[in-house]
Amino acid sequence: MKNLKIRGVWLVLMIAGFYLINFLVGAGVIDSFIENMIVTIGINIILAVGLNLIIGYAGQFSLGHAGFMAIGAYTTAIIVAKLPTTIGFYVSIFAGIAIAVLFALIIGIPTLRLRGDYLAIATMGAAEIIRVIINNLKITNGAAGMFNIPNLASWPTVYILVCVTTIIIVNFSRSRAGRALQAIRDDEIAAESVGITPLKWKLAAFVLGTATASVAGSLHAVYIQTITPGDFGIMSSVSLLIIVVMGGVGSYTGTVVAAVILGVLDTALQSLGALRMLIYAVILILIMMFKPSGLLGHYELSFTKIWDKISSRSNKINPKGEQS
Amino acid sequence: MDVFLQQLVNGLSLGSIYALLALGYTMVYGIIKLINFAHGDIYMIGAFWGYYIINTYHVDFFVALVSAMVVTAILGMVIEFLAYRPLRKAPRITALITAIGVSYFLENGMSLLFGANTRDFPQIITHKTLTFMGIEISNIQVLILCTSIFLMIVLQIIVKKTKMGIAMRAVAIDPDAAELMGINSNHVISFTFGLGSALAGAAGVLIGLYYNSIDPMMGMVPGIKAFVAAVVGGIGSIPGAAIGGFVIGTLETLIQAVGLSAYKDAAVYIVLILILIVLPTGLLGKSAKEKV
Amino acid sequence: MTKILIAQDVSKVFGGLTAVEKVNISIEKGQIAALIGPNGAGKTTFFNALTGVAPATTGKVLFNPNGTEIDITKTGPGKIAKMGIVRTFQNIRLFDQMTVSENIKIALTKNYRESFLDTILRTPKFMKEEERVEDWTNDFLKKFDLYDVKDVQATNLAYGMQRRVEIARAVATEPKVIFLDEPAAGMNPEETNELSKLIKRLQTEFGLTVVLIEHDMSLVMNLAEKIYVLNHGKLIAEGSAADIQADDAVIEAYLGGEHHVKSR
Repeated sequence: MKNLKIRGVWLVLMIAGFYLINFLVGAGVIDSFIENMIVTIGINIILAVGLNLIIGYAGQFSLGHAGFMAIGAYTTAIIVAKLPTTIGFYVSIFAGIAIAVLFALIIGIPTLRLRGDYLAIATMGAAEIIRVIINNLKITNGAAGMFNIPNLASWPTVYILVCVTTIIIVNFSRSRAGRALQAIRDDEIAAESVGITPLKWKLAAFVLGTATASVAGSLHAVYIQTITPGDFGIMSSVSLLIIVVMGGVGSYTGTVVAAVILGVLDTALQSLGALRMLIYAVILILIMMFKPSGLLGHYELSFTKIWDKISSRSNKINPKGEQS
Repeated sequence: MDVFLQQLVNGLSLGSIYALLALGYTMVYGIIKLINFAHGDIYMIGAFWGYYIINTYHVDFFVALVSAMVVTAILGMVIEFLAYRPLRKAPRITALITAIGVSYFLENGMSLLFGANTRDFPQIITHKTLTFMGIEISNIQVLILCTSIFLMIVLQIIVKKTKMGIAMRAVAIDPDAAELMGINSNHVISFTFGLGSALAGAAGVLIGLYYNSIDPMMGMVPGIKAFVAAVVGGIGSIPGAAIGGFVIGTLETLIQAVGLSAYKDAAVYIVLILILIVLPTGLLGKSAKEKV
Repeated sequence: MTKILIAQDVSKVFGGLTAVEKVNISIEKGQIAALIGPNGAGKTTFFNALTGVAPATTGKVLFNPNGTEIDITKTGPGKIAKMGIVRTFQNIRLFDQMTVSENIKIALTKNYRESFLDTILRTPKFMKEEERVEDWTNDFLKKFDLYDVKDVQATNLAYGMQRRVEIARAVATEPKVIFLDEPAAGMNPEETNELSKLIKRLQTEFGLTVVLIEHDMSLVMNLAEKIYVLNHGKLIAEGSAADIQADDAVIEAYLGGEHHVKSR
C-alpha cells in the first residue's frame, strides 16, 4: 500500500513537470533558446544517470561514455536518413541499443577485470577507437560528420525518455542487482566469497549504462540534427564524469541537480567565449574543494523516507495511529 | 630497412617527448595516485615560456630550456599547493575532477591572455640534416634525444641516490609509515610535482623546436598519449614510463609510415588495451594482489 | 562417515618459497575440525587453496557434498561458494556501507526468482520476492540474535557483533562446509565464549561441517573433534584434542628451540 502511494507521488510529479514545461512553452516563457537548454540538460541527465550506475553503484571508473553515445547517434542518423519517420526513429533507438550492448560486451568482458584507473584508461581508449572508426567509415561520412538529420524529436520525447531511463536505472539499483553491485564495490573478495560473480554484475551495470547512453545519442542526433565524430571525444566523456562527481557519486538525485546547474550555467555563460570555460573551471575547482563528495554526497530524494518520518511523527502524537 | 630505421629514428624523437611527459604522470601517480590531467598543460606553458623568453630576450636554447624548467617546476608546485593539497584526504575521483578543472583553467586562461591562435616557435637552432648510413637525422632530433636521455639519467640519479629520492619512494610505498620516519610528505609531494613539471616544461620547449608551432590547446592530446605511455609502461614505474613513451612514439610513427595515419590513435589504444589485458599493470608495473 | 572435503598432497609455492608442502587432510561430514600451528605455518595459505582464493600449485582438492566427489582444485572462489563451501576472513570483511540486513541479503543473491523486467517494472512478482527475502532475512537474523541491529550500518557495530554478522552472512548462503579464519582473534573472553556456542550451533542446528583456524587453544580444544597441526608448511600431527596435547612434535613446534634446549 505504502509502495503504491509512493509510486503515485513520483508519477504525479513527472506528469506535473511535463505540464509545467508545456504550459511555459505555450505561454512563451520558454523560447527556443531555453527549450534547447532543457533538451540538452535532459540528454545529459540520461547520460550521467547511466554513468552514475557504472561509477557510483558498480564502482567501475569508466571514461568512455561518449563513445556509446556516438554509437546511438550514428545509428539513428543512418537509419532515419533512409526512414525519416517517427517509427524509423524508434527503430533506430533499439538498433542503437543493440549495437551499443554488443560493443559494451566486447569491451567490457576483457576490461572490467581491470581495476580503478586502469579500467578508466582502457574505457577511454575503447571510446577513442569507436570514434576513430566512425571518423574513417564511409557510411558515417567520416570526419565531416552527418548533417540535415530529420528533426524527429522535440522536448516531450526527450522528457519521456529521461523519465523512462531514469526509472529503469533507479529500479535496477534498488534491487538485488544494486545490492550485489554495492557489495562488489565495497569488497570484491567478500562478495565473491558469498557466491556473487563480480564480472557478471559489473557487466550488467556496464551494459545497462551504455544502453541508455546510446538512447541519449539517438536523441542528440535527431534534436541537434548535425553530428560529427568530434562531438564524442574524451572531453565529452569527461564532462559527463564532471556531472556525476559534482552531483555526488552514487546519488542519482545529485546527478540530476548537477546536470541542471551545469546546463543552466553553460547557457548563461555562452556569450563569454574563453572566459566561460575559465569561470567554469574555477567553479568546478571550488566545488570540489568545498564539497569533495559532490553537491549532494550520498543523499537521495526518497518519498519512502519522508513518508516514514511523517508517519512516525503522527504515531508519536497519536500512539494508536493506524499505519496505512 | 632504411625506411624502417628512418621511421624508427623519427619515432624515437617523438617518443622521447612522450617519455618526458609520461615520467611526470608516473611520478605523481606513484606518490598520490592522481591522474594529473593538467600535466599536458604544464608542457604547453613550458612551450609558451620558451616562446616568450626567446622572442623577448633572444636567449639561446640552453637558457630557454633551463628557465622553462624552473618556471614550470614552480607552477607545478603552486598548483599542487593550491588545488591538490586541500584534497589529500578527499575521494580520489574528486582530485581527478579538480585536475581536469586546473587543465581547463590553464588552457582557457592562456587562450584568453594570448589568444587561441597557433604561433610560430622561434627557430633558434639552424636546422641541419645529417646523413648517417642512409638515414636522415636532423640536428634537432639529435638534440631532443640527447636532452631527454640526459634528463632521464639525471632523474634516475635523483630518485635512486639522493635523500629526497629515497623519501619520494618511501612516501609512494606507504605515506603513513614515511611520516612516522620523520619524512614531511607534503614537501616530498611538492618536490615530486616540481620535478615532473620541470620535465614537462623541457618537453614543451623541445616540441616547440621540433614542430615549430605552439597553441594553448597543444597539451591535451600529447598529455593523454603520455598518460597512456605511462600506463603501458606500468604506472608508478620510472623506467616503465620511459619505455612506454618510446613504445607509443615509435608505434605512432610506424603506423603513419605505412599509410594508416588515420588510424594511428586507434592503434595506440588497441595496443594499450591489449597490453592491459595481458599484463593488467603494464609492462613494468608491480601487480598488487590483495592479501586475504 | 563420509569425507566431505579431501586435500591430497596439496602444495603451494610462491616464487621459490614453499608455503604449504604436500598436506593431506580429509574432513568428515558434520565434523568440527581445526587447523592450528604457529604464526607463519601456512594455515591461511592452505585455507586459501581449499577455498579457491589462491589455488594450490600441486595436489588435489576434492569436495563430496552428496555422494560424488568433485575436483575443485582450480575452481574460483565464487563458484566454490555456490557449490557450498564458504568462508569468513581473518580481518573481517563486511560490506561496510550496508546495514546488517543488507549484508545478509547479499548472500541470497542467487536465490531470487524475479527477472530483469520484473525489477525495472516493479511487478507484483518483484514485490513478492522482496517481501519473501525480507521475511526470510528477519527470521534468519533472529536465529543469530542480530534482529535488533538489522538496520545498523555494519561499520558501526562492535567487533564481536561484526564477526557474528560475517558468520551469519556465510551461513545464509546455505553452505555445506564453513571455513572460519581466526574467528576469535581480538575477542575478549566473554565474546569468545559466545562465539564458541555459536560455532557449536552451526554444527548442531544448521548441520554444517566446520573448519576453523584458531590460535585460541581453549576454544580449539573445546570444540574441535579433529585437529590438524601445521608447521613450516607441513602437517606434523593430526588427531583428537587429547592426542595433539600429548604430541611431542606439536609441543616442540609451539615451544620451539627453548623446549629443545631444555629437553637436552
